Amino acid sequence: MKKLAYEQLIQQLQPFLKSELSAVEKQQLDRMLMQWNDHPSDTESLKNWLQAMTRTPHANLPLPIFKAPLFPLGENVVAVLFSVQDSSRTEGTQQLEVLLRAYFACELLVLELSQNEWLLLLPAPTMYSDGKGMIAGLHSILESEWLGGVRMSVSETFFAAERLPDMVNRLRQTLHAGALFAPQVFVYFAGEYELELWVMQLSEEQRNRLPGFVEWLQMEADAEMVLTLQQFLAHGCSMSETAKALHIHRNTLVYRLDKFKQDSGFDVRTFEHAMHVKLLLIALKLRQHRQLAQPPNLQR
Amino acid sequence: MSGLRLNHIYKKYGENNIAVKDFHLDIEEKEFLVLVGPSGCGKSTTLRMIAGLEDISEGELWIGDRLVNDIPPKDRDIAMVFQSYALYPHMNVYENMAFGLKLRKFPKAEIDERVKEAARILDIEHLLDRKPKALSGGQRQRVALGRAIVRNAKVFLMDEPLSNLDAKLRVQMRAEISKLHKKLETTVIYVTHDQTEAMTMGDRIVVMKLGEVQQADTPDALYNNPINMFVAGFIGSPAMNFIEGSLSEKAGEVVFSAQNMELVIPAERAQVLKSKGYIGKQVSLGIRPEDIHDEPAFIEASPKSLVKVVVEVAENLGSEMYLYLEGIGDQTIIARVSGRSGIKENETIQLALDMNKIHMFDKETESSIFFNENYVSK
Ligand SMILES: Nc1ncnc2c1ncn2[C@@H]1O[C@H](COP(=O)(O)OP(=O)(O)OP(=O)(O)O)[C@@H](O)[C@H]1O
Ligand SMILES: [Mg+2]
Repeated sequence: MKKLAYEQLIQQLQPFLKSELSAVEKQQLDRMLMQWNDHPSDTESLKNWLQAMTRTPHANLPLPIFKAPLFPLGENVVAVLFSVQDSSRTEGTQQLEVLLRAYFACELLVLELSQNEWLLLLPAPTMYSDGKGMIAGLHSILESEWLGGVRMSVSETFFAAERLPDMVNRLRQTLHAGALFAPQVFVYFAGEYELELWVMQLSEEQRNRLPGFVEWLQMEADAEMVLTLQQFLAHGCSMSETAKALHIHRNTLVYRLDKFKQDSGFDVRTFEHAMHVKLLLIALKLRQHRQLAQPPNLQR
Repeated sequence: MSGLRLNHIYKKYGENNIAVKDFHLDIEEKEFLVLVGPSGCGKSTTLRMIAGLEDISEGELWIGDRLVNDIPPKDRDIAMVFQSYALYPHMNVYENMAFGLKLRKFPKAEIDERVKEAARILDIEHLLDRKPKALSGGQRQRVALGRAIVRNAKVFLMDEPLSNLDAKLRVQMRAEISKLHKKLETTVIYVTHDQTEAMTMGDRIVVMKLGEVQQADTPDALYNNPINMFVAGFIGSPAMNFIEGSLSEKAGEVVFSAQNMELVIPAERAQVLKSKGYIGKQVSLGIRPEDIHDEPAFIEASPKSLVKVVVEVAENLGSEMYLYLEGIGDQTIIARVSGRSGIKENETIQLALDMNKIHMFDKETESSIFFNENYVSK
């Protein structure tokens, strides 16, 4: 902020100064201006470094040298990645920072990683009590106060200086997996999408070797059946909970699961088959997604 | 003018993934509209499109006389109410309600006025200095409402705002939100998957299934004149019983037969079945638990709609009793009778169906054969 004001001042003065200054003085002024541009702030160097490290696979760049000790680097932190669909609807990075500071009331760092992606670093202890509720609340507040739809992924605690680029990658993947497999959920906690990430990394051929995958595709389960299976798995394979969520009679659920068993050979009421079907649902979704869009960009 | 018009709205996430299909409805100014349906039916997606949090794939959204498809959320004159979590943990109640306005650079005096007014309406004036941590769930929910109220928005959007609260508090907050709606005279669009919540709160209810509106009508109309089996089964608790059987004509009367039962359809309804060509066909009969009777007088007056059943379970709730009955079709039938009826488990009893309250559904399309397009709500 300060730097910007100073730059603007000099730029405004420039035409005037230039006419008054000697050639040597002019050179000196230009060099000074250049230096300003060459020396980004510490947060900016961190941001540039993070971008470089996370954009290229296997990048290995030394951490930049900072002018002053930079808040999160020597600490245990929690990182939150924010992603918006349409950045033209947001109120900008500055406003985001205002909201985040008001919400957490502690030291924190916000980096704008790209036009629609931001990283928040928080000291780990801020999150101890009811961390999930707190993040859910933040999500609602951002959606109502700052902009349109936001998706967020949230890391576990880690030591910033050691694992920051890794963590950013992981958060991106988690967010991607979350948006794909749990689109109605908008906040994704790293560690809760391991299975999805794993399936996403399998090649098509490997996925086809999942038991029953090809037959599954040929079956063309209808939307109602897929929803039933999803809900059954989401409710811990509880018949009564699932029937309640789908608002169907228990007998109807039994009937659908029986029909599915008949068609596919999988009895999702057994744990093993339930896990298979979960994998298949993930693989199926992934295939549909790939057919519709560019493959997700997964670096690792 | 702050009614809404959803003009053939779609949300598509790809060819085969249509979350909302042809949502077409006028919402009146000051109406309390509830969107209800099972998980994944598109309620939140619809609400988020109205809020501007999701793009509309197809169709038009009008708020008042403004087409708002491309208007960002903050300029839509709407306020969202979320679950009780959505408060700034380190600010007190006053600051929590004021902050949104502060961000929008409202003058201090006006902020103060609005916050105090909202606090008065919500009866939380004595809590203004408290931090969220020191509030109960219900109080927090009220503050969350307060944050929306201070906006003076014309339309309130609420997505399952009570889902974090325990059952008792939920009932209480339902009543409070309804009261609040009357006080504020705003349009409310309220999402829930709980049909009881929908029935008690809504002026009108939209029942959705797999992205499609099934029926949009008053609670009374949904209950008494459901358009199809889905709505009939979704609205009402315990749910409507469905019995599969066939229709035939015997001695000038139309008879519904299923395993272990034969019921004579009253003349007026029989006529409808005849004229629509259902004689000799398979249908599903629907009867609500409260329309199955055990009172001797009713039974005596209904010799043509008696059933003999075995009571598997009798659940006595005091004022009323739920009977889980076997012996008709292969499904358990539920009846709701008086808590004083003295019926015991494992008894074989005789009950009578109120044939003027029965519903009849096409076996293929599941649509209601008696559906009345011109039904007038009570
Ligand atoms: N961003 C998205 N991408 C793809 N599909 C989505 C997306 N958002 C929602 N869906 C799908 O749209 C359908 C409707 O979802 P929605 O969240 O509106 O349901 P809901 O009625 O609110 O359910 P619930 O009662 O569980 O909250 C679901 O099948 C969901 O998977
Ligand atoms: Mg929802």
